Amino acid sequence: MQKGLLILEDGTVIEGKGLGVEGIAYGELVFNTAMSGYEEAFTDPSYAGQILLMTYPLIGNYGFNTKYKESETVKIRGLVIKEPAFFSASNLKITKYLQQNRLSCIWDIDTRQLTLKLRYFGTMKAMLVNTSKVLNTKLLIKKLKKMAHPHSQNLVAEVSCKSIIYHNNRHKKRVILIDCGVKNSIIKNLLNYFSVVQVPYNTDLNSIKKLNPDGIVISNGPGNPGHPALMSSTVKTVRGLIKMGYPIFGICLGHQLLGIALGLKTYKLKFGHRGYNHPVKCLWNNRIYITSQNHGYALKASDKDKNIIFDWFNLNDGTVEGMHHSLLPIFSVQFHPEASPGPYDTKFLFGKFNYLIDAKAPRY
Amino acid sequence: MPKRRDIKKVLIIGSGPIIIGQAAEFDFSGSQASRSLRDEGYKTIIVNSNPATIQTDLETADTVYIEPLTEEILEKIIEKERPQGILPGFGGQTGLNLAYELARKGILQKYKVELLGTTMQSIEMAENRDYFRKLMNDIGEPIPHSFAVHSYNEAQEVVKKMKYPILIRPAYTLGGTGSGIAYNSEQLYEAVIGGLNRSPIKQVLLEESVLGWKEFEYEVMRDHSDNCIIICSMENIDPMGIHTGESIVVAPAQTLTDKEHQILRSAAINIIRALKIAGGCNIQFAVNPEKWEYRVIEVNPRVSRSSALASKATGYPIARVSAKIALGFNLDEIQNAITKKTTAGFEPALDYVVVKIPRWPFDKFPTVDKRLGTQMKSTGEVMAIGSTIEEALLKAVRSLEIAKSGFEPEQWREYELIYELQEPTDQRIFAIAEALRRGYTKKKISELTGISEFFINKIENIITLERLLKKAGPEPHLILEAKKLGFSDEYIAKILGTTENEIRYLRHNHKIEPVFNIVDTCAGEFEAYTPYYYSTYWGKNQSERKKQKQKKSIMIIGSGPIRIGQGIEFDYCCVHSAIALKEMGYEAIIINNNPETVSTDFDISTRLYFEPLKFEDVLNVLLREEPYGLIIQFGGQTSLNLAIPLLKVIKEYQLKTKILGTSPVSVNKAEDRETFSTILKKLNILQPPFATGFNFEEVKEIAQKIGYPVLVRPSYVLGGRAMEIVYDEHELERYVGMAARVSPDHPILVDKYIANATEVDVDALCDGKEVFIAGIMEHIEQAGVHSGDSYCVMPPKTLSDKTIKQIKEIVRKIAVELNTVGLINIQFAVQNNIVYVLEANPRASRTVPYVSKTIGIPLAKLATKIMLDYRLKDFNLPEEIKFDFVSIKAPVFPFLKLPGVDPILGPEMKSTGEAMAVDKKFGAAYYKAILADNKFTNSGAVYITVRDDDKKEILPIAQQLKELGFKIVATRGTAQFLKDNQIDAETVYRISEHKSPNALNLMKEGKINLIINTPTMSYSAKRDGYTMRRLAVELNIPFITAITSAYAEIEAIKFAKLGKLSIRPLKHFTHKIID
Ligand SMILES: Nc1ncnc2c1ncn2[C@@H]1O[C@H](COP(=O)(O)OP(=O)(O)O)[C@@H](O)[C@H]1O
Ligand SMILES: Nc1ncnc2c1ncn2[C@@H]1O[C@H](COP(=O)(O)OP(=O)(O)O)[C@@H](O)[C@H]1O
Ligand SMILES: [Mg+2]
Ligand SMILES: [Mg+2]
Repeated sequence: MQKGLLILEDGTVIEGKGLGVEGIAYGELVFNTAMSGYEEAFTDPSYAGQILLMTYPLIGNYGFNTKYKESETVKIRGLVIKEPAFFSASNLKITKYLQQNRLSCIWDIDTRQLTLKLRYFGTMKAMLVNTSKVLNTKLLIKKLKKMAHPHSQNLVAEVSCKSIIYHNNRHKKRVILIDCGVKNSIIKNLLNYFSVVQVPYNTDLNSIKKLNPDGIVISNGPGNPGHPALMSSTVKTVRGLIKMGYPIFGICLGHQLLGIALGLKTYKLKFGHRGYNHPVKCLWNNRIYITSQNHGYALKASDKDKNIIFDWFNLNDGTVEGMHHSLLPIFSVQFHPEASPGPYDTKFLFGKFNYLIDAKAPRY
Repeated sequence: MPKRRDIKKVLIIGSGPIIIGQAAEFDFSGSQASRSLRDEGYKTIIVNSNPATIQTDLETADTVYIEPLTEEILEKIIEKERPQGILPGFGGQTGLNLAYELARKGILQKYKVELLGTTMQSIEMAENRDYFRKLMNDIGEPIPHSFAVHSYNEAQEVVKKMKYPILIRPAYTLGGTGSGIAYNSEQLYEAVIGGLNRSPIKQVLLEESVLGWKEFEYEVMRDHSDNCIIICSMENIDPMGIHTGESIVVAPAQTLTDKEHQILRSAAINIIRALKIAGGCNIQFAVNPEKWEYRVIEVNPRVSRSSALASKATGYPIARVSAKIALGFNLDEIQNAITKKTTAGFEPALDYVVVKIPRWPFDKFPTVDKRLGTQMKSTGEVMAIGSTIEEALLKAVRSLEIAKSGFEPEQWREYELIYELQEPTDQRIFAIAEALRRGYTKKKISELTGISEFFINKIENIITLERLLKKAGPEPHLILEAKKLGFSDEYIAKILGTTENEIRYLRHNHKIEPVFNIVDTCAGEFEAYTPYYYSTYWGKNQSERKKQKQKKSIMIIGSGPIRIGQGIEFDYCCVHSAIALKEMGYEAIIINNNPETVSTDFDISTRLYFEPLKFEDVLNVLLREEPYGLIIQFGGQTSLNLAIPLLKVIKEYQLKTKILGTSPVSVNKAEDRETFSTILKKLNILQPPFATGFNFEEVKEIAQKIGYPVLVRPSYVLGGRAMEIVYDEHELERYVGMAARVSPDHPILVDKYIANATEVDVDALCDGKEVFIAGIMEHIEQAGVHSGDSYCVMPPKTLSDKTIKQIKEIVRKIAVELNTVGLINIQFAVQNNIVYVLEANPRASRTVPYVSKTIGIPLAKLATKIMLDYRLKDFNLPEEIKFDFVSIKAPVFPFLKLPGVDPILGPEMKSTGEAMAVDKKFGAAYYKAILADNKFTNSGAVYITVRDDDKKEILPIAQQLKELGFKIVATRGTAQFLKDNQIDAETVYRISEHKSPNALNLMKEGKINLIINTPTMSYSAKRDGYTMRRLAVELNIPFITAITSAYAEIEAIKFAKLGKLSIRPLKHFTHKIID
């Protein structure tokens, strides 16, 4: 039986059993409370650079079926769970899935104690060591402390498409999707209303203009929204697009980048929102919606620019969950209306973007 | 939406006596609702006929009416109290149907009372299967192909367009009452007629079967602003065709992908919105296991057994939130009781798994048809929480109180095993384990049972580990793996052929200990204040820290699942004890595993441990809490059985814990027949002569000496056939041959049967020196009918003052002799003024709630204080309880739900619940008591068929019934006897006599409205009236089996003819609550 070690930035060493690919994985340890949708989560590009801890105790219980993947490859750097479902009704079971996707996992971990630790101290750098060899843990701890935080790298570049991808279909209206690590289900939802041109995250303003889009979507993605590489590329382009009056819809990281482009600030949450039971309140109709979320940063509300209306709030901790511009056809949400995993309560927002493009009305 | 200012007073309808399919969960929901509304400043009125409920306490509601749940009584209460609103969704089907009728008949409108939380239309849409079908089609939710019919002829027409098997599902019923499956046209008639009989609006749905599909339940909440959340998804391990209440259930759902789960979630929200229900509701889906498609099966537009389970599984208080929603609050306007900072607008996230297993009464009914189907037969359920399904499953199995510590090997023959897998009874989970042990594959078992291989694999993991353990012996790392899969020490010990203690010591040496995690609704994401714990072996380091203990803590052992003889009354006592402890400044700790009851509501105790009540699990909590005191008096037989083992282990671990109240040694003195008999001799108190026979010759000899009839009971109960009254040696031979083995280690106890004696139950408080006689209850049925199955009356009706004085004397002597501290119950048989003691139980009895409510003194609370050094004189209790009223306790039986059981009473308890009725006179009170079980008739024909030595007794009864306008119908012998005594009676023939009119046809044609049938207690004589009695149960014709009950019935009929029903709130009858 492979031995597994989870080493945390504060020197804690947790023993467990190893599964999947041998080796050392390094990343930011974050926890997710969803009780299903593990395959969607493993392949969600927003997790690039992160080691995922699942609080739900049994992972892989309904097997794997690659039609649910949110991107072509597994994006999490490592998996920390309590019990893998060695048997599941579907043919592709967890052990084979981990091998096929070169993912290393550590299990038989007291995931609850670890979650309480992250809640108390905040997410932290971690190293998942999955090997049958003997290890010098002191050395590994020193190495871990010295390593730069994953968010210092440009993780978006890792997951964004490298060249333009055309998703043509019967719809006349065309939307440019700025891909910062887009989930497949966002594309699937957009294709219900528009044909979609998926462009790399650092595409400049002129190239987008040349594609004469009817609207712009800024996708979800990993890492720090304030990363310098994004400032000089995506945010610059978005500022231009705002000036040109294009209808713009931002999701998750896209929402944060749109906020920065509009002059707002972002800040890092202690342990973020990751799960699909997060209640948000929409001030339009005073209604509560249950949403799927996966973010470690949030936009700071500010009343400097009167035209930016913050119209969605998190019911648990009051953080900003959405905004729109009173004059420009721009709106964005921090949560994931495309869900997968998670509830479909806020899927109507894709329809709202379509309405915004048609009406070209200054506000919706 | 702001709180409803226009509403001041709210009426909550209870669900009445505990019956199969509608049990303690509605006391839990009703109590939560009332407390929730009072927090918001509303006045609450609760009406319920069941005294053994927390909701009918004056601490839970402002005004309490313990009255029968009938339209007439409800109208009187509404007229008197003038509530502005009525909450129909918290009293099960009884509460819902009653509120619906009051609305439909315009009674609510007449007194301007508003239905809160749900409208008449919502109830109709959900309960009327035809409207529901149309609504689902309108909103595009798929349902099985079906037709609603109101008669058998309509059914025959419609069936032409359908293919068998066909499901028959009546409207406005619950627990699968009246439902059935017709596999061919022959079975159609019986199923349709059965269903129509049970449906209040005479409507059944004929529905194409999706038998074998997976069955899911979703608990949904919606508020007036249309905000919707899902509390929990639950997957039935047993496929469609086995009622959700009869299935082993896992939460959350296990075999749905995220997409499939979200589709069902969206459908559930779509449905609750279409029904416009404000509050909680339960939606059932069937899912095709082969290719993805689902059907909506039914909606319960109210809190239910499933919402009680969902509340305990997630920690989300559904009933509490539903009540506030009904009064206008939105989800985000209700504080989250767990985090105290966030709101109730969220969906719980679990970081553990929950398993529920029903508890069936088959151990008490040897002749019942044990096969599970669409009709509920279970009386209760257990729940267990663990990190894995195996851990939760095995913890649940050992909580069932069926002498199983895990999946012990079974001795079934091959065909018996296959039959059990295909035609499931309560033994199926054990059959699966045994099949795996014998090498059956998962695939084969899945085909035979219809259960998904995913769950069978969980049992396979357990059996595989069992094999490893057998091979490798007590290897520490293997023991840890076994504990992580939920193996109990006892189960491991049996596998390894050693003792439970050995395994425990081995665990201690290798630090293999459980940790305790909190149930916090958010998987650890927020700081939680709920003191609600479960144990798991998957934790690595220390358990979650308990709050530091400034105060002394006292641990109360609960009573486990509701079963015949161990019902909700014990949970009632545990709750009262916990409240009393908190009032006295102690920390109250409760350990229990019943998800339906108030004791496992996390804000009743200071800390709640949701754990099995096995020695090992109780010890784990004992070692963690090291409480100052331990209370075992309130958990019925479950906690009593733990007394001696816990006493030993407290010494062994040098714990400072004291067992409060009557010492286990004294308890044992009362339980052990020999010791108790010497005590009675010393106090010269009469006891029926008895002796113990160790072989058949001895038993025969003893019976000869004592003289028939005798009462025989085996020390080792075989297949539920335990106690019987035996009238001659021939019957003794049959009993010993068939019912009970007799051998040196399984002796048979033989008692003199005190015939034609009045049975008396006494509950008393004793502080070691003084004794307070709380209640002397005279039973209507004679001794020989179990005390739990008899009507009883306070104050005693026929006992002479001398006898009462003698009884009080005896109670004082026995209580002090046993140095009782707390409650004691003593049962007597009085035969022509000679008083015999039958048994003494130095613990809370099932009559404690009834007596407390009758005399207005909270006995469980006072007993708890006495255990903590209060004296009786501290409570200035009245010298003599004065009665200007009559209070009656009526038993309620499960015969309708248990086909194959002879609805005859005897020394073995069979009732599941009770009702209480109070009025000025006996006749009025008895009339109300019968109404509470809706079994009253005051006109028509009475069919009398009695044994020979009752014929003389029946004359005055027949005479009075004649005067009251009844037509008399009797079997040949009885009819002739009556005619000889100038009472004309129509002769009717038994079926065996092949002459008409025969009794059964008359009954079917509705020509018989009351039956008086007193068969001899002997086994053989009972058989021939069986078909007649079963039909009477099916057709809901009331029948009387004791002469004394017949006289009581006559007094009730007299009152009903001329008297007028009066109602009085509980407060009126009782003395000031002394505190
Ligand atoms: N169409 C059907 N095909 C197969 N089984 C069914 C069907 N409808 C109901 N059942 C079974 O009968 C049980 C009871 O039906 P249900 O409508 O839930 O009755 P109740 O309202 O008394 O709970 C269900 O739990 C399910 O197992
Ligand atoms: N010697 C007896 N004579 C007459 N009836 C008896 C006698 N012993 C027991 N019974 C009847 O049997 C019932 C159950 O017997 P009991 O000893 O109380 O057992 P349990 O522990 O089940 O209460 C009693 O309520 C009483 O009606
Ligand atoms: Mg049902
Ligand atoms: Mg008894």
